[in-house]
Amino acid sequence: MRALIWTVVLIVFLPVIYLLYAGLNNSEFMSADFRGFTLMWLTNAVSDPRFLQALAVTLLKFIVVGSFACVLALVISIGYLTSRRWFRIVVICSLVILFVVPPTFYCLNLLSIARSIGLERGLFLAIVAQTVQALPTVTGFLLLTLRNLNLNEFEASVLLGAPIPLALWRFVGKKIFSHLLLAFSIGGYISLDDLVANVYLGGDTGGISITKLIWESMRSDVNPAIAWYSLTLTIIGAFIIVQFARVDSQNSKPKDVVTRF
Amino acid sequence: MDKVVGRVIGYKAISIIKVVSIFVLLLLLSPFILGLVSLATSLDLDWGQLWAAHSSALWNSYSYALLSAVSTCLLAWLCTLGLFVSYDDATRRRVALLCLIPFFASTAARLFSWVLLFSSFGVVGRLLHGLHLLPPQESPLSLPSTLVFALITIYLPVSIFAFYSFGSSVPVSVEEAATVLGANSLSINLTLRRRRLAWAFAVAFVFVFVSCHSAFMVPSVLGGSAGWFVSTSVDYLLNVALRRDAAFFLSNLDTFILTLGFLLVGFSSYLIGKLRSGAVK
Repeated sequence: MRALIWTVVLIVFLPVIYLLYAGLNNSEFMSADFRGFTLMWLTNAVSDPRFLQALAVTLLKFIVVGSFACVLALVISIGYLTSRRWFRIVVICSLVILFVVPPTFYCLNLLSIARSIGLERGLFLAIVAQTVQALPTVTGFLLLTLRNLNLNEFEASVLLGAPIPLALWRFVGKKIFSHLLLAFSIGGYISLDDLVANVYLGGDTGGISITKLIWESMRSDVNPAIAWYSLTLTIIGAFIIVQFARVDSQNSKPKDVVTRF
Repeated sequence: MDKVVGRVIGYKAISIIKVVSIFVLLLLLSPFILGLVSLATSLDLDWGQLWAAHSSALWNSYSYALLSAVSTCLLAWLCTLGLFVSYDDATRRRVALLCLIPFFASTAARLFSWVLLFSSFGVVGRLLHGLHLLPPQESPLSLPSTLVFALITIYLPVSIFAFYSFGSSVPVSVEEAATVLGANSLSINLTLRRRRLAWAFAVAFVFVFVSCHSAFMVPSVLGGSAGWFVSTSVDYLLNVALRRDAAFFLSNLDTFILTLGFLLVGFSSYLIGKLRSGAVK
């Protein structure tokens, strides 16, 4: 059993380890032979204006999609939790449909609607499609968080005369802050896998993200600098791991029996 | 929750939030509705010819997604069982988090790495040729098994974490009681966690199946003819064959089948659950 677990760990880590190896190998070709250690490919990647532009587009999408998905998910979650059955069924069915529909289908039909109202391909449409892709997962996560939230302290403090914003921050915001940050990073992480949205909806003004840059490089000019493009995506993805670890450590802490004020 | 929120922020505010939620969802669902409407109005197309031309894409999408999802879930189930049997609480949490880390390296990054490893000059490619498991003229990248392997490794980390999360929700006191009553580690994990791991299987299966079915990047690069999924076929029809109507038809038909299937499975499991709880009462 232990051998199986560690074999699986090795296999799932192999792509990341190999990227690091290929990025540091002093070989012009992406061969398996080790020809010495170099940082030349990292320097090449960092000094490439296309890569820097792609990094800016990727980070912009990460932040915008994460924020949009988080805000919409929060509104939908509050609507869900304060509603009766029929509303809940509508919300769940809608989220299931948004989760199930393939991105290709969604992007094609979104483009048709956008064109009918005079909108053309661009960054805005790509962000809309990415937000929709992220919404079911982020909403599912926030629904679980908010459902387990105890609002008695919040209500008591408001009834005792505390200002609502202060009480909201003290008894709700502080409790769910790390969860909100995780929801934001889940949304942002989903935006990293943006090839379909970028190809179908990005157009000329949509900008090239790192994922699209990797895709184009894989098809035309395979060189070790791509390993660093990929590792950059991995580093951006690491943001979500930090949030996961924070939430996990918060959940595993023993809870105080007496609440301290 | 509605009463507390209602008392504090007012029932009017709740009503506004509900209206906004429904409006946002309807707005976001409009491309889906448009797709179904255009499928219904495309009755004048030659369905027989389109089906003959693209049924293999539908078959590939569903069969490889199913194979990948089942394999991923079985492997994740085995690994999680191993975690619960072999390690203590703190270690298994660390290992589960460790397994999750590669999932957040984006799909493009991991796919690129697999392409390098499986190409004829990569480690795995050379090994397969060296052991004469593959003829020298054939590239490992075009094997259907490479496609399935890549899909499994992409979704295995998150599946292991899902199984671990569901499995670890069994109270410690129940485990302790079973140990006192003489049960060994394997039987505790097989019996006590069975129900929760079954739920984990369902959740992970749905996630992996949907993700594999709509995958675009992986089947475009790996699997040769097996990589003709609906997503890649739609891309071909739109950008190479320039057959926009056929691309829309295939995409809409696939989404209709998939969504209907999921809603039917969801409702039937809900109804079965209702009937069972009614039978218990």
